[in-house]
Order: sequence, then structure tokens, then C-alpha cells
Amino acid sequence: MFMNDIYMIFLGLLILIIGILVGVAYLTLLERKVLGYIQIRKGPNKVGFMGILQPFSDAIKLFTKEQTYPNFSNYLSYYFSPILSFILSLMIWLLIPYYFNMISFNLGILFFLCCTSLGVYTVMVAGWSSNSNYALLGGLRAVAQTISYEVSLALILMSSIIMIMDFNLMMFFVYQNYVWFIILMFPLSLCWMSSSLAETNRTPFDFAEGESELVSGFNIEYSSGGFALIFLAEYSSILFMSLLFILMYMGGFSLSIIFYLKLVFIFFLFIWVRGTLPRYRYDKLMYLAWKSYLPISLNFLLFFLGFKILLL
Amino acid sequence: MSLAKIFSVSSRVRATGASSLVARHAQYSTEGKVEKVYPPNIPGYKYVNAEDPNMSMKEMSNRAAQTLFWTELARGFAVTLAHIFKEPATINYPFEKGPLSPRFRGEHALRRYPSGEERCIACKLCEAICPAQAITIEAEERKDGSRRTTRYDIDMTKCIYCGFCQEACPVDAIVEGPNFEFSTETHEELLYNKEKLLSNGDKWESEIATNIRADHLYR
Amino acid sequence: MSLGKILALDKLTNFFNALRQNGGIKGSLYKLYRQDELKDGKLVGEDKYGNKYYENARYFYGRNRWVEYNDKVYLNYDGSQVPAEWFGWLHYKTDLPPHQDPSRPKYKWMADFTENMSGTTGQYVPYSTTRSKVEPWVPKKAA
Repeated sequence: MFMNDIYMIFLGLLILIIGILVGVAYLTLLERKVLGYIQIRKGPNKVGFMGILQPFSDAIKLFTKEQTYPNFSNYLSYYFSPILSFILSLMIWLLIPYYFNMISFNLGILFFLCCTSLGVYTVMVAGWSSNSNYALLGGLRAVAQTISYEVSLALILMSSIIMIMDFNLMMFFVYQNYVWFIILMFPLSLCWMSSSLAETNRTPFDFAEGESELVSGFNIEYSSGGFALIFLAEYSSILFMSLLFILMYMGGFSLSIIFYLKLVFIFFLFIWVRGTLPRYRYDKLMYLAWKSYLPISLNFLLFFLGFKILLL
Repeated sequence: MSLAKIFSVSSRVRATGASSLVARHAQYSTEGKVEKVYPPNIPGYKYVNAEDPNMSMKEMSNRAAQTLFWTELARGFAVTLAHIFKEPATINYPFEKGPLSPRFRGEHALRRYPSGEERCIACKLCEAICPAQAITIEAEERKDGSRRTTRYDIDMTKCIYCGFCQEACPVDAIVEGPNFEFSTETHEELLYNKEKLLSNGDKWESEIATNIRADHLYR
Repeated sequence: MSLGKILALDKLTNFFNALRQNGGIKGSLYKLYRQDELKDGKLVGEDKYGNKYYENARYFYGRNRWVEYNDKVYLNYDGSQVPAEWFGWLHYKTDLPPHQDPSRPKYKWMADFTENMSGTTGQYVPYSTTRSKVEPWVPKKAA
């Protein structure tokens, strides 16, 4: 009986991982298609039936390319940091609130914060161990940005946690049964949205990549599989961020189809933002985090603290 | 407000004199009803620099509301959302192809007279004018006594497709045809010799002749 | 503007027209797979290699003329399979398709059209068209 449970957990994890990977694959296709149509062109439409197999073609191409590594790089850390970041981004997905077959975290939010904070190290190590000025500077750029926005993310999360008095992600949709938190804390949800854009290095805050005005960031020395893993980690964390937005503000009940429609919409929002907004300026980005979002989230934290005390 | 304006005394403030400066200050206090000094209204001239923002209460509150409610952001998002539903400008090549001029300079071809006799008389003008020196010609007397090339090589990888060769040719022998779909997998295949050029001419004569006729008024 | 146009019903009719013209649902799926595009249009002509040429002025300039390559080539279609006669029409140089254009020359020395043969056994291999400059002296054998 016990072994049976173990098997079921492994099976569940396997299904989860495959689901994430396929989801991420098709998110890249969705992104390319939507960006294409925003720019009045068609996206990829040749591979398979109207481009439906494009992500797999990309994956095969990336993983069969020659793996190069820079001379005098710190090979072990260079080699393993993308793998670590990929594993971390997969581990965050343990939080996905199912009722069956998965681990139910009592301290899920803390686990999320831990994983994202650890993810920063992989970026830093990847940039440092490449033994390249550009990669090092790009890594520092990305790390400074990510850490700054983690602060505002955590503080914004605190308001919601104060409201529900629990770290468990499942509790979020219990408390949002009657009213979504997006109505209760609309400005905060906007802050969360833009913070998660910055946290995942998406346009308009994509200084880690910064293509068209900088060379690519910390991942410049990564070629085939390493690059693919970094890419997968990035997109799966974007997907998880949009999932978290649904859970926190739009009352996601993960067993209904509506949940996934909302998820697609939020990811579409990410792409839409990318298709619309030009890149921000780096100093403004930092000011935004420390001079706008920090006071806003702290004030809201105080407000909801008082609100909660009133309710008690 | 006025302090900032006084300290930013620009040339145009000085040029118009102190009286207008006073008038401008009055403008802020009386809700923009005073006649505008800037831009200076000189007939025949158009003022192109940034104008001072209108400081009437209505305009100011409008501007503040635009900032507060992110109307610019919203309009930007609306534009991109609208673009998704526009017809894409993609041309589905190889099924659809873009427009091309009759003067298009593509793959070279050596033409023939309607009788089937090759036109080239080995005058080597094209070889002389070719700025990339892509053309190599050797000539000999043919059995019937006419002067013909034995070698007419074009290195298509040197060629810059300037079209000087067809301009220089006195008998319209070498032309740059309309074909641009001659990409190859190896470099060697682009080192064209006389036979290849003549066979190009035989293949494309229908289109080359039509192009030359379409353009004859301008020659 | 009619009511149908406001409700975008004309788009729907166009879609069903295209569906019907491309041979029902199955045929349309095949066309989509092969050409990534489902269009309805008037058949203008067919060349001797089996490529069909269509026109529909509803599409914008640059997309209103297209070719459907011979079914035999399946996915190995190539831009260079359009013969010289149809090249001008497909590239909007002329509005006259070749069978309505009497001024196109037809000499008997004109060669058959071939597609770009690069990468196949039929590819062009360069060679010298002259005699070599240095010829070995072959001494006459004593009889």
C-alpha cells in the first residue's frame, strides 16, 4: 500500500513535469504567434501543420547543437547553473494547488519565495562562471533587478497573507470564494503584475537580455542545451507567475477549466505587454522598485493589517 | 512657477522684451485668457519649438487625469490589440511573390538572335567595365571566320549585380535576367561558364525579351 | 454598409467559399498542411508542368496572385518551379498571362524550363570551355 502511494506520487510528478514542459513549449509558440500578429505578420507557420510542431523543432535543434564552453570558465558551475535553475523552476511547480497526489504545502508561499531567491544565485553563478565581462555584467544587472523586485513581491504577498492568515496556497481560493482579491486590492495587484514582469525579466524590464542595445546578458556564453535549460526555466517561471496571479487575485480554483482560461489570459497579458511597451530605463526601474513599490506595498501592508484587526 | 520661468531666461524671452514677460506672467494668473505671446505670431513663419503647456484649470486637470488613469498606456494596449485582428502583411512565398520591375537585375544570361546564333562577339566591354572583375573572357576565331568567345566565365560570388555589363554590351548579349532563385548549396555551382549562361538565356528568353520590350521606351 | 458586412458575415461567406473551392474539409486541411494558407480565387491558367495560377483581387497587392504547385511535388515545392512564361505574371510585371500574350517570343531553340537543381544529381558543375593552354608534346613514334 505504501509503495503504491510512492508510485502514484512519482507518476503524478512525472505528469506534472511533462505538463509543464509541453505547456512551456506551446507558450513559446503562442508568444511568437501573438507577437507576430501584433506586428501584422504571421508567426511560425511552416513546421508541421501550420507551425504546430515548431516548439519541438526548436527544442530538437537547440539540444542537438554543439555545446561550447569558454576557455578558463569555471566549468562545473558553468555547466550546472542552468540545470540548477531549471530544477528550481520545476520545483516551484510542486506548489500547484491540487487536492490529490501532490504534496500539500502548509508553508507554500515561503517555499515559493525560497525557490525564487535561490534562482537568483543560478543567474549570478551563470554570469560569473562564464569568465566573460559581458556575462558578468549582465548577471549583475539581472541579479540587482531580480533581488530588488523580490522585496516588493514579498511585501505585496504579505498583504494577501495578512488577509488570509495562512501560507498555504490552497487557502487563497477558499478566501476568495465570494470576492476576488483583485477587487479588494486592485492597486496592489497591478504592482504585483509589474513586479512579476520585472522578476521574470520580461519586457519592459528585460535588462537581462537587453537585445538591440546591449549584448545578451548572463546567458551570452551559453549555446545549446544550457541555453535551452535557461530558456525553459525562464518560461516556466513566467507561467508560474501568471498562475500565482490567478491564485492570489482572481480566485483560482485549479480543478475548473475556467482557471486555465484565466491562466492563458494572464500569460497573454504578459505577451501583450511585450508587444506594446518599449524597454524601461535601468535607473528608473530601480527607482520604481525602491521609491514607489516599496512604500506602496508597505502602506498597503499597514492598511490590511488594520483592516484585518478590525475584522477580527 | 514664475520663479522657474525667470531663471530660464532663454533667447526668445529676451528678444521679445520685458513687457511680454510680464504679459506671460499675467497669463498664468488669469487662466490663460490673455493673448498668447508665445509662439510669436510673425506672418510667413511657423513656430516649431515646444510650446508652453496651456495652464488653464481645465487643461491642467485633463493632463493630470490622463496621467492618473494611464490613458496613454491604455491607448497603447488598444493599438496592439487592434493590430492582432488586422490582416497580416505576410506574403506566402513560394506561393505568392512580391512585385518585380522589368529592370530587375538577377541571374545573368547570354542571349541568342532569333535564328539561334549567339549574340556575343567577344568585344570584352563587359569584362572591362565590370567593377568587381567577375567576368573572364577569352576569344578565338570560329571556323566560319566570326569572332566568338571560347570562355565566358562569370563568378557569381564576385558579381555585385550592378548591371554595368548589360549596359556596356553593344549587342544585348549579356543581360541580367529576372531570376533570383538560383541559390546553391556549394560555392562551385556559382562559377558560371559560357554553357551555363547560354542555357540560362535559352531558359529565360521569353521573360528576358518581354522585359526588354517593356523597357524599350527608356533605352 | 450592409448589415452582413457589419456583422462580418462576408468573412464567413469567404471562408466557406474557400472551403468549398479547396475540396471540402479534408481537402482544405490538406491544402493548409501543404500551403499554410486557404484562399479562394479564379483559376487563370495552368502551365505545362501542372502548376495552377490563381487570382483574387480581394487580397491586397502582393497576395492577389498565387501559384499552386503541381500535386506531384507534394512538400518539395520551390519558388524556382515557376517557368519563365508565368514568372512575369506572378511577379506583377504584366497583367497578361502568357497564353493571352501573343508578343512573347517562341523560338525553337528555347529550352525547357528546369527548377533550381542545386543539391541534386542534376546540379551544374563548372568546367572549362577552352582548350588547355599547355599541351604536352607527343613525339612521333618512329615507324
